[in-house]
Amino acid sequence: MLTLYKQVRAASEPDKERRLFWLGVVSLLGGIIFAVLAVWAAQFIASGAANQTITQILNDIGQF
Amino acid sequence: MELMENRPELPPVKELFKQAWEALKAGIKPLFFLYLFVIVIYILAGLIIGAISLLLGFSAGVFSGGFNPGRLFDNPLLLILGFLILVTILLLAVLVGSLMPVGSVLVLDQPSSPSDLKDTLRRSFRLLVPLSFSLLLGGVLAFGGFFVFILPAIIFQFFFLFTTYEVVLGGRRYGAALRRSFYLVSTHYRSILLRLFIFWLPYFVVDVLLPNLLRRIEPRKGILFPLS
Repeated sequence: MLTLYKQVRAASEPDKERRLFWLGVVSLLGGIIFAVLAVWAAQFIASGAANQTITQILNDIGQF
Repeated sequence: MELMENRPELPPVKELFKQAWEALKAGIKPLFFLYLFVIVIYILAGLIIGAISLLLGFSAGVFSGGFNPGRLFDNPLLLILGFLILVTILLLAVLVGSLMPVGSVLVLDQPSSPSDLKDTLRRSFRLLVPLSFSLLLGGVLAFGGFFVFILPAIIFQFFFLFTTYEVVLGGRRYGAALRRSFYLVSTHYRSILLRLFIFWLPYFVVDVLLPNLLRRIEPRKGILFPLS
């Protein structure tokens, strides 16, 4: 990898960079999706529905 | 369009392997001592942790009348002190271990210099914080990308392939290291992908394909063959 890096660096213009703007936008979008999912999961667990669902799944597995 | 510009091509793959082999041959001795140092530190840390655990156990009477770890809680001060010592040693061992990637790059970059382990470790130590935070920043971006149907996370990690080298050898920090890695990879992504594929192919064959094939052929004996 180090040799590959050196080869790529030698074949590239020095001191040039690329902005991370679009990567940041996609990441931010992912962050929002994660936050929404986390809030939903917290509500799901707090409401007690998670316990029922897990118990149901375990029962279903037990039946097999 | 930045990607469409004419850029010098990378040397042939054969040349890459030749140069990598030469670099490894030149740096194998200091690299060996670096790895040996870390292994010795781990063994020492393990021995000290074991000894302290035993001493704590004996001091708290854990072993009197059979093994009873619950007796540790009879003396909270001893428990807290022991816990702090163990955590400190464990953190020190992890710290030394995390110097390895930086140390390896430094050693392989300048194999002709005298194999001064102390100097390599000192330089690695100074680069540890910027490298960790740069990688963390890249990780945060990739983490966000993971929740947009996984694929962006893989692409982001590919773009940040050279972050470590940019921090250690390029002298860049945090966002600058990521931006430079992004530039380097995005301008040569086809050549880099091809070379990575060639790098990983032998690993894939030896580590995944061969053991699975052997398991299919002979399920009971095949399990002896995995190398990982």
